[in-house]
Amino acid sequence: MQIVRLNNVGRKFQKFINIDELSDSDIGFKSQAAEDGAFWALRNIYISIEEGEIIGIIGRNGSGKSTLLNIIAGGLPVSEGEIIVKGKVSALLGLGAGFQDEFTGRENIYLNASLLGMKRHEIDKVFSDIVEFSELGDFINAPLGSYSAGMKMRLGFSVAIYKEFDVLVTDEIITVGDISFQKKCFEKMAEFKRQGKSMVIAAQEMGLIQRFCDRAFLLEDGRIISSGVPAEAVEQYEMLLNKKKILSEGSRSYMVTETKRWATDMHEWGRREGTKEATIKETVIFNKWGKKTNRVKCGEKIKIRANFTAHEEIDVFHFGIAIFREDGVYCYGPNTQFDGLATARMGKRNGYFELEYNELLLMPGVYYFSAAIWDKNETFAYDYHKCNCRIEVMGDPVFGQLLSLPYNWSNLRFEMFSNKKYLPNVDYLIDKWESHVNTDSTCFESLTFLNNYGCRDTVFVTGKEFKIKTDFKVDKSLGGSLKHLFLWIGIYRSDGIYCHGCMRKIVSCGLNSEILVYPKLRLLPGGYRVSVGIWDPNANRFLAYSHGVHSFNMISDKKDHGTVYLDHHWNWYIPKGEVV
Amino acid sequence: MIKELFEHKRLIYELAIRDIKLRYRKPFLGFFWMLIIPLCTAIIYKILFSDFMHASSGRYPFFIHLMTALLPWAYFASSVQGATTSILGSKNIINQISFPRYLLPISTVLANLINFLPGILVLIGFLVVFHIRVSGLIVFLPVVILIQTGLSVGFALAVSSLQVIYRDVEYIIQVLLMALFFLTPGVYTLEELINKTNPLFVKIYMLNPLVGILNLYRIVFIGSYVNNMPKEINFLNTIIIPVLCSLVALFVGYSVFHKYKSRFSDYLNI
Repeated sequence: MQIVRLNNVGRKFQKFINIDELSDSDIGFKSQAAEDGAFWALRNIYISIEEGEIIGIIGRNGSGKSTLLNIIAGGLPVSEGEIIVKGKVSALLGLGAGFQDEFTGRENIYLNASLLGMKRHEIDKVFSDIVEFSELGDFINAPLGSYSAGMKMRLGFSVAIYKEFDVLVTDEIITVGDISFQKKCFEKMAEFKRQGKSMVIAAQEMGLIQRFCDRAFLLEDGRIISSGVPAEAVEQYEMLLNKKKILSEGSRSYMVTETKRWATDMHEWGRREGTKEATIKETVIFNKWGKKTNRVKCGEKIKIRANFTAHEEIDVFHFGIAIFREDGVYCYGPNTQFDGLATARMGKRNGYFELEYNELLLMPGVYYFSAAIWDKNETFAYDYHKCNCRIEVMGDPVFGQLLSLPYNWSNLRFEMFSNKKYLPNVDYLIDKWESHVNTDSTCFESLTFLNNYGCRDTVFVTGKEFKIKTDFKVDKSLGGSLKHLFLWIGIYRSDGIYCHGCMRKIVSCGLNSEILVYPKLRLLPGGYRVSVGIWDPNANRFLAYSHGVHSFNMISDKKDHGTVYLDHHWNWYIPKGEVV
Repeated sequence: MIKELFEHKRLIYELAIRDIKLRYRKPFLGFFWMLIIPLCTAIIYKILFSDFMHASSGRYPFFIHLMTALLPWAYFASSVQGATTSILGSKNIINQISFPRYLLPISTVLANLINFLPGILVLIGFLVVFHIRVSGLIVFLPVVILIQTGLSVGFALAVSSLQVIYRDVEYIIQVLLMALFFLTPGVYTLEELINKTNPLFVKIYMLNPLVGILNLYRIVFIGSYVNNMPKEINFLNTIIIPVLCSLVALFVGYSVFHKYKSRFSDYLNI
């Protein structure tokens, strides 16, 4: 039975930054900043705790552990999402809530226990047990102020565990006591576990997490970035600590983080402009057989050639060819300067330049090419043909999807289904951006991104391996219709353009874990979001989904414009300049 | 909410006892301070107003006049003032344990009520010493206390929640209480006020629920008071207004509290 369930829980705090102080120091607050000056200490938290389960929470200081514990303990309301608790929660956070130094240990037991919700007669019943467990002896009648920190902690712990509870929420204060008391605590916790009680423990003590917990969650910047068996989460945490060390040395500072993603001048398509020192006469497209065409198949080799004539001698210039989808989405726009190629001085004669793609990974549809000869800094063009070369990509169209990227699922399985027939109707998700729906029968537990080292991350490098790991639950009640259910994962640009999606059959009930692997994720720099859903093709709807809630960023050392990096190479013939 | 209050009566009591114990545990005279302070205040005011300024209260000693005002007033003022910081001062509890937050201001009022009760016994003792016949209406004393408690709880709920977010409330309350003290017939008598000020002011003055409540206290304590009251004291401003005000205060106080409680966790720790 589920005792606690957190459903997309988020907690926002006011920052209360003093304006005067802020102007003195240029502290940049990053990602979690919300519109209204508040910041999200926790966001998109999905956790469900079963009866008798011990959950570990790990993460660096400030990652949101305490906030999460306080929310589960009921001390802090959530800003979004919901928390469902079926049963009594006992919290042991900090040293004894409401302890008064002026009161004796006895009085504090009564006060603390009443605050925890115990009735007088209940306290009377367990009073002697509490005193015994806390090993305070005669000190129970001395004022609390005369206790040592360890004694206070023992008293607080003893009161908390003698309260009837179903879930015990605690941070690492249990490790404050001496070895013998710790041992006693662990024995007590083992006893609780046998009794089928659940626990949530936040700790920095990795040994404790690994020894004791059934599952562990790794928090970073208020989000769950890893969940699963404790050993794995602990390993992730250690990698995270190491990585932060490397990152803080600023090795990524030269990387590109944003590119152009839209055609800004769609109304000018078909026109040309430029200073005309050199002019492009025509642009032609060749298919893989070298035949002139304007229709190619998805994923095939393609060559675009532009013939030009130089009317003046030009010292420094470069070529660029860009491709746009017909609605103005910038697909890819490499140029010879970005690729670091040097062109020779141009003489007054005819020449050509070619861009060859090994695989055109664009979904079937209509696209336009622009070809241009630019000056040194891409500030003005000698000649610029704006999208006046139309090309049709043929194949099985997948509605709305821009790219056809190579991918595979990490656990291999023979699957045969017609992709087309069961494809989710993503129209269903329009207007549901950044929303999520989980039901009792199906719910997404976590979604994490892994980089080429296998670490959880949210920033990835173009062209490197990228994995999406998602855990979701399918209730047994759906067992009958299981063979008709599909997991769908879609990658969206942060402006909502659907880039790539893929799906696979769901084969088993209970907790599923799937890893989608892109051996080389070729998305260009910028923000992306990931959507996941459980698609029921018969009902033509998603049973559960999370649409654009999880995000990641791409960075690259290349400055190419557009959305996807396509393997390519340049060829050209430049007429030699006449030597004077 | 009433049901919830009943469920938590034990906790309210524990919290109130905590308040009182914290106040009187250490001092040598301990709980006697509960009696000594109003008594001393009354003696000082008696010397100041009655002996120096020749204020008089007619048919009964001025000292009794002062005591019947000061004891209930101390209950009201310390309830409201204590409640302002009741939430803010318990942030270590609030951060860690979930229980209805309104129990804190309510327990503060309860602590002050417990503080107030021995004073009543002392007052009755003085009535006997001064040979004043105690009115038969004393059986209604619990009702009068209930009306005043309602008013106090209402104020307590409002100020305790407002104080968390607007820290000026504490000082505003301090000033308002001082003003309100001199707007109730404590150190002077109603007859004096009626004789010396214009009738319109008296009409407005009588709308103050605390005036009504103080009159109620005098009616139930002092035997001859009810027969010799000035005609400005009527049924409306002695009973209807205090009861209504106390109900309205409870309602408004609860609404204010309810409105602000979700923001506590943001503001509590700064």
